[in-house]
Amino acid sequence: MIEIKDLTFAYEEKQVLKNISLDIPQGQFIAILGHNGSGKSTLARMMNALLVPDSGELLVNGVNTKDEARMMEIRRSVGMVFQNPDNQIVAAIVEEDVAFALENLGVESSEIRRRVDLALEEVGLSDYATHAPHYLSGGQKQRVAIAGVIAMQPNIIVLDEATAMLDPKGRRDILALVEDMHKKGKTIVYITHNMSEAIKADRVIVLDEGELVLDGTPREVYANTSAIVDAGLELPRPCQVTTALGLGVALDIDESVELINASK
Amino acid sequence: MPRKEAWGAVFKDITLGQYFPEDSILHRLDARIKLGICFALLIVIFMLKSYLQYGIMMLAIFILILMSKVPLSLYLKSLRPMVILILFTGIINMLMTDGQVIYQFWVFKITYEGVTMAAQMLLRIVLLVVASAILTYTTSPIVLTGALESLLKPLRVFKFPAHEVAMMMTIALRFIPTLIDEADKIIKAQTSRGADFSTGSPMVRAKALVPVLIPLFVNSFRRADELAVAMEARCYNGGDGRTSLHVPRIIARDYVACAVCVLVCAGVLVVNYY
Ligand SMILES: Nc1ncnc2c1ncn2[C@@H]1O[C@H](COP(=O)(O)OP(=O)(O)OP(=O)(O)O)[C@@H](O)[C@H]1O
Ligand SMILES: [Mg+2]
Repeated sequence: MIEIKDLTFAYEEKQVLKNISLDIPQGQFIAILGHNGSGKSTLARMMNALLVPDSGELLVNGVNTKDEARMMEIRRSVGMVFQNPDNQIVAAIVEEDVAFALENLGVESSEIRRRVDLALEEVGLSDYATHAPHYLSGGQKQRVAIAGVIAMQPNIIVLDEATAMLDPKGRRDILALVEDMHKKGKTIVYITHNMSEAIKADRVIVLDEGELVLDGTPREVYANTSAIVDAGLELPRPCQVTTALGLGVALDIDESVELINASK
Repeated sequence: MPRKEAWGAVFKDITLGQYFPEDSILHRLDARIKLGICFALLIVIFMLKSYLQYGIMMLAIFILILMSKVPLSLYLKSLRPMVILILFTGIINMLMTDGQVIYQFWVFKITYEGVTMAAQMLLRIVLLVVASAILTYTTSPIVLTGALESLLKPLRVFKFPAHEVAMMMTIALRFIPTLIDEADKIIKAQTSRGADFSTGSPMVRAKALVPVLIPLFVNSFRRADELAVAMEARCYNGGDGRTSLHVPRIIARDYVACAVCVLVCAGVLVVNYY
Protein backbone atom coordinates (compact mmCIF):
# COMPACT_ATOMS: atom_id res chain seq x y z
CA MET A 1 0.00 0.00 0.00
CA ILE A 2 1.37 3.38 -1.02
CA GLU A 3 -0.18 6.69 0.01
CA ILE A 4 1.02 9.88 -1.62
CA LYS A 5 -0.22 13.19 -0.26
CA ASP A 6 0.40 16.44 -2.08
CA LEU A 7 3.93 15.49 -3.04
CA THR A 8 6.25 17.99 -4.72
CA PHE A 9 9.85 17.61 -5.68
CA ALA A 10 12.49 19.67 -7.50
CA TYR A 11 16.02 18.89 -8.66
CA GLU A 12 17.82 22.09 -7.79
CA GLU A 13 15.63 24.68 -9.59
CA LYS A 14 13.66 22.38 -11.81
CA GLN A 15 10.21 21.43 -10.49
CA VAL A 16 9.82 17.76 -11.45
CA LEU A 17 6.77 16.59 -9.47
CA LYS A 18 3.89 18.93 -8.66
CA ASN A 19 1.22 18.29 -6.02
CA ILE A 20 0.84 14.59 -6.65
CA SER A 21 -1.78 12.81 -4.55
CA LEU A 22 -2.31 9.13 -5.13
CA ASP A 23 -3.35 6.07 -3.15
CA ILE A 24 -2.26 2.67 -4.35
CA PRO A 25 -4.05 -0.09 -2.42
CA GLN A 26 -2.32 -3.39 -1.70
CA GLY A 27 -2.58 -5.83 -4.62
CA GLN A 28 -3.28 -3.24 -7.30
CA PHE A 29 -1.53 -3.38 -10.68
CA ILE A 30 -1.00 0.25 -11.59
CA ALA A 31 0.73 1.53 -14.71
CA ILE A 32 2.36 4.96 -14.70
CA LEU A 33 2.54 6.50 -18.17
CA GLY A 34 4.30 9.64 -19.28
CA HIS A 35 6.66 10.94 -21.95
CA ASN A 36 10.43 11.28 -21.44
CA GLY A 37 11.21 13.63 -18.60
CA SER A 38 7.67 13.70 -17.23
CA GLY A 39 8.92 12.60 -13.79
CA LYS A 40 8.11 8.87 -13.77
CA SER A 41 11.52 7.70 -12.56
CA THR A 42 11.61 10.43 -9.97
CA LEU A 43 8.27 9.27 -8.59
CA ALA A 44 9.48 5.66 -8.62
CA ARG A 45 12.56 6.57 -6.62
CA MET A 46 10.35 8.27 -4.06
CA MET A 47 8.58 4.96 -3.45
CA ASN A 48 11.85 3.36 -2.38
CA ALA A 49 13.10 6.24 -0.24
CA LEU A 50 15.92 6.79 -2.74
CA LEU A 51 14.52 10.31 -2.88
CA VAL A 52 12.27 12.03 -0.36
CA PRO A 53 9.61 14.66 -1.13
CA ASP A 54 10.45 18.35 -0.74
CA SER A 55 6.95 18.83 0.60
CA GLY A 56 4.07 16.47 1.08
CA GLU A 57 4.27 12.89 2.19
CA LEU A 58 4.82 9.43 0.78
CA LEU A 59 3.86 6.48 2.99
CA VAL A 60 4.76 2.88 2.22
CA ASN A 61 2.63 0.43 4.21
CA GLY A 62 2.01 3.29 6.59
CA VAL A 63 5.70 4.18 7.02
CA ASN A 64 6.77 7.67 6.01
CA THR A 65 9.78 7.65 3.66
CA LYS A 66 11.17 10.61 5.60
CA ASP A 67 11.64 8.34 8.61
CA GLU A 68 15.33 7.45 8.09
CA ALA A 69 15.36 4.93 10.90
CA ARG A 70 12.88 2.79 8.98
CA MET A 71 14.43 3.19 5.54
CA MET A 72 15.53 -0.45 5.28
CA GLU A 73 12.06 -1.58 6.20
CA ILE A 74 10.71 0.43 3.28
CA ARG A 75 13.35 -0.80 0.86
CA ARG A 76 12.78 -4.44 1.71
CA SER A 77 9.05 -4.09 1.11
CA VAL A 78 9.45 -2.25 -2.22
CA GLY A 79 11.44 -4.14 -4.83
CA MET A 80 12.78 -2.09 -7.76
CA VAL A 81 13.64 -3.18 -11.28
CA PHE A 82 15.40 -0.62 -13.46
CA GLN A 83 15.67 -0.07 -17.18
CA ASN A 84 19.20 -1.08 -18.05
CA PRO A 85 19.79 -4.78 -17.37
CA ASP A 86 23.56 -4.30 -17.41
CA ASN A 87 23.66 -1.63 -14.75
CA GLN A 88 21.68 -3.29 -12.00
CA ILE A 89 23.37 -6.66 -11.69
CA VAL A 90 26.06 -6.44 -9.06
CA ALA A 91 27.58 -9.89 -8.72
CA ALA A 92 29.53 -11.85 -11.31
CA ILE A 93 27.44 -15.00 -10.79
CA VAL A 94 23.67 -15.17 -11.29
CA GLU A 95 22.73 -16.79 -7.98
CA GLU A 96 24.96 -14.43 -6.04
CA ASP A 97 23.26 -11.48 -7.62
CA VAL A 98 19.85 -12.86 -6.70
CA ALA A 99 21.15 -13.24 -3.16
CA PHE A 100 22.49 -9.67 -2.98
CA ALA A 101 19.57 -8.01 -1.20
CA LEU A 102 19.20 -10.91 1.23
CA GLU A 103 22.91 -10.76 2.06
CA ASN A 104 22.57 -7.05 2.73
CA LEU A 105 19.62 -7.70 5.02
CA GLY A 106 21.60 -10.24 7.02
CA VAL A 107 19.37 -13.20 6.23
CA GLU A 108 20.80 -16.54 7.32
CA SER A 109 22.66 -18.54 4.61
CA SER A 110 20.39 -21.56 4.50
CA GLU A 111 17.37 -19.29 4.15
CA ILE A 112 19.14 -17.29 1.41
CA ARG A 113 19.83 -20.54 -0.44
CA ARG A 114 16.19 -21.58 -0.21
CA ARG A 115 14.79 -18.26 -1.36
CA VAL A 116 17.33 -17.84 -4.17
CA ASP A 117 16.50 -21.28 -5.57
CA LEU A 118 12.76 -20.56 -5.39
CA ALA A 119 13.15 -17.15 -7.03
CA LEU A 120 15.28 -18.53 -9.86
CA GLU A 121 12.71 -21.25 -10.44
CA GLU A 122 9.94 -18.69 -10.55
CA VAL A 123 11.65 -16.70 -13.31
CA GLY A 124 12.68 -19.88 -15.12
CA LEU A 125 16.42 -19.46 -14.76
CA SER A 126 17.30 -22.35 -12.44
CA ASP A 127 19.63 -23.78 -15.07
CA TYR A 128 21.62 -20.56 -15.14
CA ALA A 129 22.20 -20.26 -11.40
CA THR A 130 25.98 -20.52 -11.62
CA HIS A 131 26.43 -18.74 -14.94
CA ALA A 132 28.01 -15.33 -15.44
CA PRO A 133 25.26 -12.73 -16.09
CA HIS A 134 27.42 -11.40 -18.90
CA TYR A 135 26.49 -14.33 -21.15
CA LEU A 136 22.73 -13.96 -20.68
CA SER A 137 20.38 -12.14 -23.08
CA GLY A 138 18.87 -8.80 -22.08
CA GLY A 139 15.56 -10.45 -21.21
CA GLN A 140 17.27 -13.08 -19.10
CA LYS A 141 19.25 -10.40 -17.28
CA GLN A 142 16.03 -8.57 -16.44
CA ARG A 143 14.63 -11.84 -15.14
CA VAL A 144 17.70 -12.16 -12.91
CA ALA A 145 16.95 -8.68 -11.59
CA ILE A 146 13.33 -9.68 -10.98
CA ALA A 147 14.46 -12.86 -9.22
CA GLY A 148 16.58 -10.68 -6.93
CA VAL A 149 13.45 -8.71 -6.10
CA ILE A 150 11.26 -11.81 -5.64
CA ALA A 151 13.82 -13.32 -3.26
CA MET A 152 13.50 -10.26 -1.05
CA GLN A 153 9.74 -11.03 -0.72
CA PRO A 154 8.54 -7.44 -0.96
CA ASN A 155 4.81 -6.76 -1.17
CA ILE A 156 5.29 -3.96 -3.70
CA ILE A 157 7.27 -4.24 -6.93
CA VAL A 158 8.19 -1.16 -8.96
CA LEU A 159 9.39 -1.68 -12.54
CA ASP A 160 10.86 1.47 -14.10
CA GLU A 161 10.74 0.90 -17.87
CA ALA A 162 12.06 -2.59 -17.24
CA THR A 163 11.22 -3.69 -20.79
CA ALA A 164 12.43 -0.61 -22.66
CA MET A 165 15.69 -2.19 -23.81
CA LEU A 166 14.29 -5.63 -24.65
CA ASP A 167 13.13 -7.31 -27.85
CA PRO A 168 9.45 -8.33 -28.21
CA LYS A 169 10.04 -11.79 -26.78
CA GLY A 170 11.96 -10.50 -23.79
CA ARG A 171 9.20 -7.96 -23.28
CA ARG A 172 6.45 -10.58 -23.34
CA ASP A 173 8.38 -12.77 -20.87
CA ILE A 174 8.72 -9.90 -18.42
CA LEU A 175 5.07 -8.89 -18.78
CA ALA A 176 3.98 -12.48 -18.14
CA LEU A 177 6.14 -12.55 -15.01
CA VAL A 178 4.66 -9.28 -13.85
CA GLU A 179 1.12 -10.60 -14.25
CA ASP A 180 2.15 -13.72 -12.41
CA MET A 181 3.48 -11.72 -9.47
CA HIS A 182 0.31 -9.63 -9.48
CA LYS A 183 -1.78 -12.81 -9.22
CA LYS A 184 0.30 -13.80 -6.20
CA GLY A 185 -0.94 -10.67 -4.46
CA LYS A 186 1.92 -8.23 -5.04
CA THR A 187 1.25 -4.56 -5.66
CA ILE A 188 2.73 -3.76 -9.07
CA VAL A 189 3.83 -0.28 -10.14
CA TYR A 190 4.63 -0.58 -13.83
CA ILE A 191 6.28 2.43 -15.41
CA THR A 192 6.36 2.74 -19.18
CA HIS A 193 5.74 5.15 -22.01
CA ASN A 194 4.36 2.38 -24.17
CA MET A 195 0.59 2.46 -23.80
CA SER A 196 0.00 -1.01 -25.18
CA GLU A 197 2.00 -2.48 -22.27
CA ALA A 198 -0.39 -0.90 -19.80
CA ILE A 199 -3.62 -2.57 -20.99
CA LYS A 200 -3.26 -5.42 -18.49
CA ALA A 201 -3.13 -3.01 -15.55
CA ASP A 202 -6.03 -2.50 -13.13
CA ARG A 203 -5.41 1.20 -13.24
CA VAL A 204 -3.47 3.67 -15.35
CA ILE A 205 -2.24 7.12 -14.40
CA VAL A 206 -0.67 9.61 -16.76
CA LEU A 207 2.02 12.10 -15.74
CA ASP A 208 2.70 15.20 -17.78
CA GLU A 209 5.42 17.66 -16.76
CA GLY A 210 5.23 16.38 -13.21
CA GLU A 211 1.47 16.64 -12.91
CA LEU A 212 -0.97 13.80 -12.57
CA VAL A 213 -3.32 14.45 -15.49
CA LEU A 214 -5.31 11.23 -15.94
CA ASP A 215 -6.30 8.44 -13.56
CA GLY A 216 -8.61 5.49 -14.18
CA THR A 217 -8.90 2.03 -15.70
CA PRO A 218 -7.10 1.63 -19.03
CA ARG A 219 -10.46 1.81 -20.79
CA GLU A 220 -11.39 5.08 -19.09
CA VAL A 221 -8.01 6.70 -19.57
CA TYR A 222 -7.57 5.66 -23.21
CA ALA A 223 -10.88 7.29 -24.07
CA ASN A 224 -9.35 10.75 -23.44
CA THR A 225 -7.74 10.89 -26.85
CA SER A 226 -6.82 14.55 -26.87
CA ALA A 227 -5.49 14.61 -23.30
CA ILE A 228 -3.28 11.65 -24.18
CA VAL A 229 -1.87 13.39 -27.22
CA ASP A 230 -1.32 16.52 -25.10
CA ALA A 231 0.61 14.43 -22.58
CA GLY A 232 2.98 13.38 -25.37
CA LEU A 233 1.80 9.79 -25.56
CA GLU A 234 0.51 7.60 -28.34
CA LEU A 235 -2.51 5.29 -28.06
CA PRO A 236 -2.00 1.65 -29.06
CA ARG A 237 -2.63 1.12 -32.79
CA PRO A 238 -5.93 -0.83 -32.45
CA CYS A 239 -7.23 1.87 -30.15
CA GLN A 240 -6.15 4.63 -32.56
CA VAL A 241 -8.11 2.95 -35.33
CA THR A 242 -11.30 2.41 -33.35
CA THR A 243 -11.32 5.87 -31.78
CA ALA A 244 -10.67 7.45 -35.19
CA LEU A 245 -13.70 5.52 -36.49
CA GLY A 246 -15.70 6.80 -33.53
CA LEU A 247 -16.21 3.27 -32.19
CA GLY A 248 -14.72 3.82 -28.73
CA VAL A 249 -11.74 2.18 -27.03
CA ALA A 250 -10.34 -1.16 -28.14
CA LEU A 251 -7.52 -2.39 -25.92
CA ASP A 252 -6.16 -5.00 -28.32
CA ILE A 253 -6.45 -6.20 -31.91
CA ASP A 254 -9.21 -8.74 -31.21
CA GLU A 255 -11.36 -6.15 -29.54
CA SER A 256 -10.87 -3.68 -32.39
CA VAL A 257 -11.90 -6.34 -34.91
CA GLU A 258 -15.02 -7.07 -32.89
CA LEU A 259 -15.91 -3.38 -32.64
CA ILE A 260 -15.38 -2.83 -36.35
CA ASN A 261 -17.39 -5.92 -37.32
CA ALA A 262 -20.20 -4.95 -34.96
CA SER A 263 -20.42 -1.49 -36.52
CA LYS A 264 -20.92 -2.79 -40.04
CA MET B 1 41.39 -7.74 -39.75
CA PRO B 2 44.18 -9.42 -37.83
CA ARG B 3 45.04 -6.35 -35.83
CA LYS B 4 41.57 -5.99 -34.39
CA GLU B 5 41.52 -9.63 -33.44
CA ALA B 6 44.76 -9.02 -31.64
CA TRP B 7 43.02 -6.32 -29.64
CA GLY B 8 40.22 -8.73 -28.87
CA ALA B 9 42.76 -11.27 -27.71
CA VAL B 10 44.43 -8.78 -25.41
CA PHE B 11 41.08 -7.94 -23.83
CA LYS B 12 40.01 -11.55 -23.61
CA ASP B 13 43.10 -12.44 -21.62
CA ILE B 14 42.12 -9.84 -19.07
CA THR B 15 38.57 -11.12 -18.86
CA LEU B 16 39.15 -14.76 -18.35
CA GLY B 17 42.00 -14.15 -15.98
CA GLN B 18 43.85 -17.32 -15.21
CA TYR B 19 41.16 -19.64 -13.95
CA PHE B 20 41.19 -23.07 -15.57
CA PRO B 21 38.00 -24.92 -14.61
CA GLU B 22 38.76 -28.57 -13.83
CA ASP B 23 37.70 -31.05 -11.24
CA SER B 24 40.83 -31.70 -9.21
CA ILE B 25 41.56 -31.99 -5.51
CA LEU B 26 43.22 -28.58 -5.65
CA HIS B 27 40.16 -27.03 -7.28
CA ARG B 28 37.95 -28.39 -4.54
CA LEU B 29 40.13 -27.24 -1.67
CA ASP B 30 38.81 -24.31 0.38
CA ALA B 31 40.05 -21.08 -1.18
CA ARG B 32 41.16 -19.58 2.13
CA ILE B 33 43.27 -22.64 2.85
CA LYS B 34 44.70 -22.49 -0.66
CA LEU B 35 45.56 -18.81 -0.21
CA GLY B 36 47.24 -19.60 3.11
CA ILE B 37 49.22 -22.51 1.67
CA CYS B 38 50.27 -20.45 -1.33
CA PHE B 39 51.42 -17.66 0.95
CA ALA B 40 53.40 -20.10 3.12
CA LEU B 41 55.05 -21.60 0.04
CA LEU B 42 56.02 -18.16 -1.27
CA ILE B 43 57.70 -17.31 2.04
CA VAL B 44 59.55 -20.60 2.16
CA ILE B 45 60.69 -20.14 -1.44
CA PHE B 46 62.25 -16.84 -0.42
CA MET B 47 64.14 -18.61 2.36
CA LEU B 48 65.63 -21.39 0.23
CA LYS B 49 69.44 -21.60 0.28
CA SER B 50 70.85 -24.97 -0.69
CA TYR B 51 70.32 -26.92 -3.88
CA LEU B 52 68.84 -29.73 -1.79
CA GLN B 53 66.16 -27.35 -0.56
CA TYR B 54 65.47 -26.17 -4.07
CA GLY B 55 65.25 -29.76 -5.18
CA ILE B 56 62.65 -30.67 -2.55
CA MET B 57 60.64 -27.55 -3.29
CA MET B 58 60.70 -28.19 -7.03
CA LEU B 59 59.49 -31.72 -6.43
CA ALA B 60 56.68 -30.45 -4.19
CA ILE B 61 55.59 -27.85 -6.76
CA PHE B 62 55.78 -30.43 -9.52
CA ILE B 63 53.48 -32.76 -7.57
CA LEU B 64 51.06 -29.86 -7.08
CA ILE B 65 51.12 -29.17 -10.82
CA LEU B 66 50.19 -32.80 -11.50
CA MET B 67 47.46 -32.69 -8.87
CA SER B 68 45.95 -29.52 -10.38
CA LYS B 69 45.16 -31.33 -13.68
CA VAL B 70 46.01 -28.05 -15.44
CA PRO B 71 48.12 -28.67 -18.58
CA LEU B 72 51.84 -28.07 -18.09
CA SER B 73 51.85 -25.83 -21.16
CA LEU B 74 49.69 -23.31 -19.29
CA TYR B 75 52.25 -23.06 -16.53
CA LEU B 76 54.95 -22.47 -19.12
CA LYS B 77 52.74 -19.76 -20.58
CA SER B 78 52.46 -18.10 -17.19
CA LEU B 79 56.26 -17.89 -17.13
CA ARG B 80 56.51 -16.20 -20.50
CA PRO B 81 56.07 -12.60 -19.27
CA MET B 82 58.81 -13.34 -16.75
CA VAL B 83 61.47 -14.38 -19.27
CA ILE B 84 62.97 -10.90 -19.60
CA LEU B 85 63.01 -10.40 -15.84
CA ILE B 86 64.64 -13.80 -15.33
CA LEU B 87 67.29 -13.16 -17.98
CA PHE B 88 67.99 -9.67 -16.72
CA THR B 89 68.38 -10.59 -13.04
CA GLY B 90 70.32 -13.70 -14.06
CA ILE B 91 72.88 -11.74 -16.08
CA ILE B 92 73.20 -8.98 -13.49
CA ASN B 93 73.75 -11.53 -10.74
CA MET B 94 76.26 -13.45 -12.80
CA LEU B 95 78.36 -10.40 -13.63
CA MET B 96 78.10 -8.42 -10.42
CA THR B 97 78.92 -11.04 -7.84
CA ASP B 98 82.50 -11.11 -6.63
CA GLY B 99 84.33 -14.33 -5.96
CA GLN B 100 86.26 -17.11 -7.62
CA VAL B 101 86.62 -16.18 -11.31
CA ILE B 102 85.87 -18.89 -13.85
CA TYR B 103 85.84 -16.83 -17.02
CA GLN B 104 86.90 -13.31 -17.84
CA PHE B 105 86.60 -10.97 -20.84
CA TRP B 106 87.20 -7.22 -21.04
CA VAL B 107 85.85 -5.75 -17.76
CA PHE B 108 83.45 -8.60 -17.13
CA LYS B 109 84.18 -11.45 -14.75
CA ILE B 110 82.01 -14.47 -14.38
CA THR B 111 82.47 -15.98 -10.95
CA TYR B 112 81.50 -19.29 -9.45
CA GLU B 113 79.40 -17.46 -6.84
CA GLY B 114 77.78 -15.38 -9.55
CA VAL B 115 76.67 -18.46 -11.46
CA THR B 116 75.27 -19.98 -8.27
CA MET B 117 73.44 -16.76 -7.46
CA ALA B 118 72.00 -16.51 -10.97
CA ALA B 119 70.85 -20.13 -10.98
CA GLN B 120 69.19 -19.76 -7.60
CA MET B 121 67.55 -16.52 -8.60
CA LEU B 122 66.19 -18.13 -11.74
CA LEU B 123 64.83 -21.10 -9.81
CA ARG B 124 63.34 -18.82 -7.21
CA ILE B 125 61.44 -16.68 -9.71
CA VAL B 126 60.18 -19.75 -11.56
CA LEU B 127 59.00 -21.33 -8.31
CA LEU B 128 57.29 -18.14 -7.17
CA VAL B 129 55.45 -17.68 -10.45
CA VAL B 130 54.39 -21.29 -10.72
CA ALA B 131 53.26 -21.47 -7.09
CA SER B 132 51.00 -18.44 -7.55
CA ALA B 133 49.82 -19.77 -10.91
CA ILE B 134 48.68 -22.98 -9.23
CA LEU B 135 46.49 -20.88 -6.97
CA THR B 136 45.00 -18.73 -9.74
CA TYR B 137 44.52 -21.64 -12.17
CA THR B 138 42.59 -23.68 -9.63
CA THR B 139 40.50 -20.91 -8.00
CA SER B 140 37.93 -18.78 -9.78
CA PRO B 141 38.51 -15.04 -9.27
CA ILE B 142 35.10 -14.71 -7.65
CA VAL B 143 35.83 -17.36 -5.05
CA LEU B 144 39.27 -15.89 -4.55
CA THR B 145 37.73 -12.49 -3.85
CA GLY B 146 35.48 -14.02 -1.21
CA ALA B 147 38.42 -15.80 0.37
CA LEU B 148 40.45 -12.60 0.42
CA GLU B 149 37.59 -10.80 2.11
CA SER B 150 37.25 -13.34 4.89
CA LEU B 151 41.03 -13.47 5.42
CA LEU B 152 41.29 -9.68 5.51
CA LYS B 153 38.32 -9.28 7.82
CA PRO B 154 40.36 -9.34 11.04
CA LEU B 155 42.25 -6.31 9.70
CA ARG B 156 39.09 -4.26 10.05
CA VAL B 157 40.22 -3.68 13.62
CA PHE B 158 42.92 -1.49 12.08
CA LYS B 159 40.32 0.27 9.88
CA PHE B 160 41.32 -1.74 6.82
CA PRO B 161 38.30 -1.63 4.45
CA ALA B 162 38.15 -5.40 3.82
CA HIS B 163 34.54 -5.50 2.68
CA GLU B 164 34.91 -2.44 0.46
CA VAL B 165 37.99 -3.86 -1.26
CA ALA B 166 36.20 -7.15 -1.90
CA MET B 167 33.09 -5.36 -3.18
CA MET B 168 35.24 -3.32 -5.55
CA MET B 169 36.86 -6.47 -6.88
CA THR B 170 33.47 -8.16 -7.32
CA ILE B 171 32.10 -5.20 -9.26
CA ALA B 172 35.24 -5.04 -11.36
CA LEU B 173 34.92 -8.74 -12.20
CA ARG B 174 31.28 -8.21 -13.07
CA PHE B 175 31.88 -5.17 -15.29
CA ILE B 176 35.14 -5.94 -17.10
CA PRO B 177 33.38 -8.13 -19.72
CA THR B 178 30.61 -5.54 -20.14
CA LEU B 179 33.13 -2.75 -20.74
CA ILE B 180 35.10 -4.91 -23.16
CA ASP B 181 31.93 -5.55 -25.15
CA GLU B 182 31.21 -1.86 -25.16
CA ALA B 183 34.74 -0.99 -26.29
CA ASP B 184 34.34 -3.52 -29.06
CA LYS B 185 31.05 -1.96 -30.19
CA ILE B 186 32.52 1.54 -30.17
CA ILE B 187 35.55 0.37 -32.14
CA LYS B 188 33.27 -1.26 -34.72
CA ALA B 189 31.08 1.85 -34.93
CA GLN B 190 34.09 4.11 -35.40
CA THR B 191 35.64 1.74 -37.91
CA SER B 192 32.46 1.78 -39.97
CA ARG B 193 32.71 5.57 -40.03
CA GLY B 194 36.21 5.32 -41.38
CA ALA B 195 38.34 5.42 -38.28
CA ASP B 196 41.53 3.43 -38.65
CA PHE B 197 42.89 1.54 -35.68
CA SER B 198 45.16 -0.84 -37.51
CA THR B 199 47.76 1.17 -39.39
CA GLY B 200 50.42 3.71 -38.52
CA SER B 201 52.99 3.96 -35.80
CA PRO B 202 52.10 2.88 -32.26
CA MET B 203 51.71 6.57 -31.43
CA VAL B 204 49.20 7.10 -34.23
CA ARG B 205 47.29 4.00 -33.24
CA ALA B 206 47.24 5.05 -29.60
CA LYS B 207 45.83 8.40 -30.65
CA ALA B 208 43.14 6.66 -32.70
CA LEU B 209 41.97 5.00 -29.50
CA VAL B 210 41.17 8.30 -27.79
CA PRO B 211 37.73 8.57 -29.40
CA VAL B 212 37.06 5.05 -28.16
CA LEU B 213 38.19 5.63 -24.62
CA ILE B 214 36.30 8.88 -24.07
CA PRO B 215 32.78 7.50 -24.66
CA LEU B 216 33.78 4.40 -22.72
CA PHE B 217 34.84 6.57 -19.82
CA VAL B 218 31.77 8.77 -19.88
CA ASN B 219 29.50 5.73 -20.08
CA SER B 220 31.26 4.11 -17.15
CA PHE B 221 30.34 7.05 -14.97
CA ARG B 222 26.71 6.73 -16.00
CA ARG B 223 26.85 3.01 -15.30
CA ALA B 224 28.45 3.56 -11.93
CA ASP B 225 25.72 6.02 -11.05
CA GLU B 226 22.92 3.65 -12.03
CA LEU B 227 24.57 0.72 -10.31
CA ALA B 228 24.92 2.69 -7.10
CA VAL B 229 21.20 3.49 -7.15
CA ALA B 230 20.31 -0.14 -7.87
CA MET B 231 22.53 -1.32 -5.01
CA GLU B 232 20.95 1.14 -2.62
CA ALA B 233 17.47 0.10 -3.73
CA ARG B 234 18.46 -3.45 -2.85
CA CYS B 235 19.23 -2.50 0.73
CA TYR B 236 23.00 -2.21 0.36
CA ASN B 237 24.37 -0.42 3.37
CA GLY B 238 28.05 -1.29 3.58
CA GLY B 239 29.58 -4.44 4.98
CA ASP B 240 28.15 -4.39 8.50
CA GLY B 241 25.72 -7.14 9.32
CA ARG B 242 26.02 -8.71 5.88
CA THR B 243 25.64 -12.43 5.49
CA SER B 244 26.57 -14.58 2.52
CA LEU B 245 24.90 -17.11 0.26
CA HIS B 246 27.94 -19.33 0.39
CA VAL B 247 29.45 -20.16 3.72
CA PRO B 248 32.54 -22.12 2.79
CA ARG B 249 33.15 -24.86 5.33
CA ILE B 250 36.57 -26.17 6.16
CA ILE B 251 36.44 -29.95 6.04
CA ALA B 252 38.81 -32.88 6.64
CA ARG B 253 40.68 -32.59 3.34
CA ASP B 254 41.44 -28.93 4.06
CA TYR B 255 43.00 -29.87 7.40
CA VAL B 256 45.01 -32.62 5.71
CA ALA B 257 46.24 -30.16 3.08
CA CYS B 258 47.30 -27.76 5.83
CA ALA B 259 49.14 -30.48 7.70
CA VAL B 260 50.98 -31.65 4.57
CA CYS B 261 51.94 -28.06 3.79
CA VAL B 262 53.30 -27.49 7.29
CA LEU B 263 55.29 -30.74 7.12
CA VAL B 264 56.77 -29.97 3.71
CA CYS B 265 57.68 -26.39 4.65
CA ALA B 266 59.22 -27.44 7.96
CA GLY B 267 61.07 -30.27 6.22
CA VAL B 268 62.49 -27.96 3.59
CA LEU B 269 63.65 -25.46 6.22
CA VAL B 270 65.33 -27.96 8.58
CA VAL B 271 66.93 -30.15 5.96
CA ASN B 272 69.94 -27.78 5.89
CA TYR B 273 70.87 -28.63 9.43
CA TYR B 274 71.54 -32.31 8.68
N1 LIG C 1 19.69 13.76 -10.98
C1 LIG C 1 19.02 14.75 -11.62
N2 LIG C 1 19.42 16.02 -11.50
C2 LIG C 1 18.76 17.02 -12.14
N3 LIG C 1 17.70 16.82 -12.93
C3 LIG C 1 17.26 15.57 -13.11
C4 LIG C 1 17.89 14.46 -12.46
N4 LIG C 1 17.24 13.35 -12.81
C5 LIG C 1 16.24 13.72 -13.63
N5 LIG C 1 16.24 15.05 -13.80
C6 LIG C 1 15.27 15.81 -14.60
O1 LIG C 1 14.01 15.62 -14.04
C7 LIG C 1 13.03 15.46 -15.04
C8 LIG C 1 12.25 14.19 -14.81
O2 LIG C 1 13.12 13.09 -14.91
P1 LIG C 1 12.65 11.59 -14.78
O3 LIG C 1 13.86 10.76 -14.92
O4 LIG C 1 11.85 11.44 -13.55
O5 LIG C 1 11.73 11.43 -16.05
P2 LIG C 1 11.12 10.11 -16.69
O6 LIG C 1 9.66 10.35 -16.82
O7 LIG C 1 11.56 8.93 -15.93
O8 LIG C 1 11.75 10.12 -18.13
P3 LIG C 1 12.25 8.90 -19.03
O9 LIG C 1 11.05 8.40 -19.76
O10 LIG C 1 13.24 9.55 -19.93
O11 LIG C 1 12.86 7.87 -18.12
C9 LIG C 1 13.77 15.47 -16.37
O12 LIG C 1 13.57 16.72 -16.96
C10 LIG C 1 15.20 15.29 -16.01
O13 LIG C 1 16.01 16.04 -16.85
MG1 LIG D 1 12.77 7.21 -16.35
